[in-house]
Amino acid sequence: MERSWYWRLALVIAIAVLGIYTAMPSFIYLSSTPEVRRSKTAIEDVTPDWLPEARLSMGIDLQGGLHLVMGVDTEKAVMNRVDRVGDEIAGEMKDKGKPLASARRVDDGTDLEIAMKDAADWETLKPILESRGDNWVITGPTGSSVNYSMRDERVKQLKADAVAQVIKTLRSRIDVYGVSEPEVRMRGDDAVLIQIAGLTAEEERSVKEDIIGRTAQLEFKLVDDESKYFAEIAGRAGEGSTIKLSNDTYRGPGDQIVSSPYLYAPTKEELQVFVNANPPPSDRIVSFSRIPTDEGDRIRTWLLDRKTPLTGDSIVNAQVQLNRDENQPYTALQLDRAGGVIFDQLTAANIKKRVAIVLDDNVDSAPVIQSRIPSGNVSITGGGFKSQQEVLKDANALAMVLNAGALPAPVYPQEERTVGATLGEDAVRKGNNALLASVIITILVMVGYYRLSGAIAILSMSVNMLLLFAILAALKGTLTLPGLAGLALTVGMAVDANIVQFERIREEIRLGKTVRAAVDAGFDKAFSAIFDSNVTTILSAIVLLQYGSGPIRGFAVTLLIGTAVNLFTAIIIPRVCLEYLARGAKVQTLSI
Amino acid sequence: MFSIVPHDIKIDFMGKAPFFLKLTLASLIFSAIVLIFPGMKFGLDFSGGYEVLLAFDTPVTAEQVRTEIGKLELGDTSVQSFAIPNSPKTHFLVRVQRSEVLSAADLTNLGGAFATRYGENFKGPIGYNKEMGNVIDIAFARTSSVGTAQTSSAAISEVIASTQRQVSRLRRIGRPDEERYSVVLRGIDITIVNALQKSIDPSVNAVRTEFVGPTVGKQLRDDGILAVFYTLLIMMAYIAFRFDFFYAPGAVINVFHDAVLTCGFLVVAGREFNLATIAGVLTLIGYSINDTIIVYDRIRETVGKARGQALHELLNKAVNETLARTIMTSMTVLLASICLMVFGYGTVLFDFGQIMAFGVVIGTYSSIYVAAPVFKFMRERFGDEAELAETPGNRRVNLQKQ
Repeated sequence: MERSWYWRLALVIAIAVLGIYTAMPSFIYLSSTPEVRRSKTAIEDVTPDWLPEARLSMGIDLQGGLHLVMGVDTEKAVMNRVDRVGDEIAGEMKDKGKPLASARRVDDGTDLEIAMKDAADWETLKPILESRGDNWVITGPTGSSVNYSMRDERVKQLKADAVAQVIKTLRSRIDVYGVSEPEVRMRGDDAVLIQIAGLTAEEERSVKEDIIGRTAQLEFKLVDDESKYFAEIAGRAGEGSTIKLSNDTYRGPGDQIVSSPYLYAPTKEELQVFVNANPPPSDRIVSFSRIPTDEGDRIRTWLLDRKTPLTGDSIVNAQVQLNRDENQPYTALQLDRAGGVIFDQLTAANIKKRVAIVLDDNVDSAPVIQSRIPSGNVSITGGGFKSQQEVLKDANALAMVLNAGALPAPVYPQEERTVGATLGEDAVRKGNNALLASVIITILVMVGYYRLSGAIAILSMSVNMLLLFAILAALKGTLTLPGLAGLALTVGMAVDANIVQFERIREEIRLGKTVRAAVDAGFDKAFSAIFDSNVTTILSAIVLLQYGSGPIRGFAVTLLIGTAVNLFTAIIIPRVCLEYLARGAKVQTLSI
Repeated sequence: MFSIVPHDIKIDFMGKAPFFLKLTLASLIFSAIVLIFPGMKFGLDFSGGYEVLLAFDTPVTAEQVRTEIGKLELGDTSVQSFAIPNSPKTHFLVRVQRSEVLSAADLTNLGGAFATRYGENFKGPIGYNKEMGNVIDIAFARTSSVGTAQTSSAAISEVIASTQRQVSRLRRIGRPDEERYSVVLRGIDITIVNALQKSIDPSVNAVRTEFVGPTVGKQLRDDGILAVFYTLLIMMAYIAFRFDFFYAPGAVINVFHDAVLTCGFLVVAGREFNLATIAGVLTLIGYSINDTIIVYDRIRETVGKARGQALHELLNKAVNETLARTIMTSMTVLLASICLMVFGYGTVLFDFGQIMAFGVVIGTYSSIYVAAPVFKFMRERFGDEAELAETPGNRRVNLQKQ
């Protein structure tokens, strides 16, 4: 045998082994019972640690669950911003004693039509408009009116921000249900896709209605770091409890280190039950947040003042800005007039204490009040021992939370699909049977007709399937019913290429060539047809992926990967096998 | 070596081309007619609306369900019985054409109900935007609690319930000096289930619900059409690049033929067009082009080698030589499609299988009787000029004019 043959054989074996290794967690997942599949811990228990973590999961149509697409009215978000800027400009002009005649948005657009009472007011208006920097374009003035329009890049940015905020808010609402892997991501430019499996019908209904009919509740509450409440009740948790006590420290009044106790446990439910049994003083409430630990994420408790001095309704805007001196990012929060007055009093009375930012009953963060803030302009600085990148990330996340108080744009349902768990199981069974049946029939036809070569074609088809699963697993793909259909058709199309090769080899044998020459010629001549036909299928799958949505995508992904893998398996595996028969084993008649 | 067709088979495929051309045209015209009248039936994905699959533990007739749902005044609705093999339950598929929770008439009714109860203290009209789903805004004059009926959450829910709509959540909004309420209504699917639980059988539940909003249906449809269009375009470009321009039109007409015939078949078979159907038709296009390329590849090879032979004979030779392959590949895909139909009955797998099974048969036919004759026509009509250009992959052939 030639050296190149050994290399190709080694390549095939190496790729197949890698394929088995990568696809193994997915096979374990798919062959588990529905109960094991739905629970994150149970599936981790049956999967050996040395296997990779990435695996594919089942779509909503197969395991049952909720599929929602919420549209985000991004136009509205931009219009709201334009309106607010108009109000601000009018306010600033009023403060300077030169009130405007009007500042109105033009139709449903992003332009402001500013009308001055006197053309001479332009001297005052100009610096105000220019102070908003590059985001706006000033046209005019013509007479006493000016056109002030938002730049397209800024509009785009605002729209993207609006969708990102909606995602953040929806995710935090869904997290409350504690399902293992909720999926909340952007779809297209202005929609959010939500997929949740493993909810009861009752919960599904409440998710559907909560997501549609509620705005996030953002509250500011003072943190009680002096109470020893958690330390006192921690002892009642008993031996072997998963609830543990720890301390949180920060620089408090007079630069003294304040050490504040808190409880933590793996789940919120445990803490909730424990706290209900050992309630805090009546003017305090317990809230929760997620913290990373060495053993994975844990939920910790916070003791907060029951009163809510300030809610998200008072927030005008929050954004990330850079401190010019130190180039340090921070979150700038602007409160409305009433909110500013409340915050002034709150900060004056509680310097060096912490104020918790609570989103939908979960503590997002708890910055320390460094000084009295009279103006309603709050800056929240991150820090500690973090890199600038991390601080920037935190600042962005915080701005997102603060803006989440009121959804930046209305959301509305575009698509809603729910599948009951039993219906899903029925679909899995049917999908499995259909796939199995098409594999068996293909084996019968191929081995019956092409004998040993047919078996080789089946081998290459099996490696194709294996690699397809491995790649889907590595991409953490989702297996849906249309995906299964794509899989079953890939079975049919995978052997297609081998049939072309085998028929070609048969022709060459009929021309009287030796087995060796016929095998070489057959593969060479069949190559262009196989290459062209697979490439066209790949191209159409890419188009499907680009323009398709929902079921079309699941189908396109399996088709794309299956055909791409086929270019490798269908060309190299039968050739390695048949070359061995022709050269290594030197057979006189080929079983084909 | 058992062979499904004799290796020296010589069928005069091209000789029968004129007859099959008539057959092809006739079936295309027939498909075009049924596509216009009665036309495509759009499924939920494209038309928008609600679809709910209900399961009753007890035997219930479709008539009972229809009557009860009729009372909800949801406009255009249909109730069909839906068979799920081996299931002890009774299933019905309910479809509601409209996708907004409240119609104009519903709003008038609701406004009327509030006006009756609260008189002038109710400040109509009710705020509602059908694109935004199921939230309504109700406003009252500040004096509403004096003299006339009280505005309380319970009272408002009661008024809404009297118009067959259900409240999911209700809260007061606006400034303290206003009397405004924001009400989230139950979606139509939940409204139906709740109503049937009360009137027919408390065991009823929705095992599958689907809702597609009004704007989305149109967008999904446009995306589907675009996908088909771009697929055709890309294939034509690729074939023109890999083969030459004599081949590309044949391949595209071939694919177009397959797509139109399949759509016509779906109309005749009474199937609906939805996302899964589009995916099926697009796969069929992929498969059909696959088949065509293999025949074209052989034509390219045969024509390239030949000297002084009639194109007619060369095409016959190419088709005959690939016949065994054509039958074998079509058979494997056909069998796989039939497996999908048999074992996936009642799911989207059946739809895929059906389209593919039909598609394989006509795809095989069209490679021989659409793609090859169109190539022949192109070559004979425009061959001479193009030969002068001597493009790669288009080796000089002595064509014998017929």
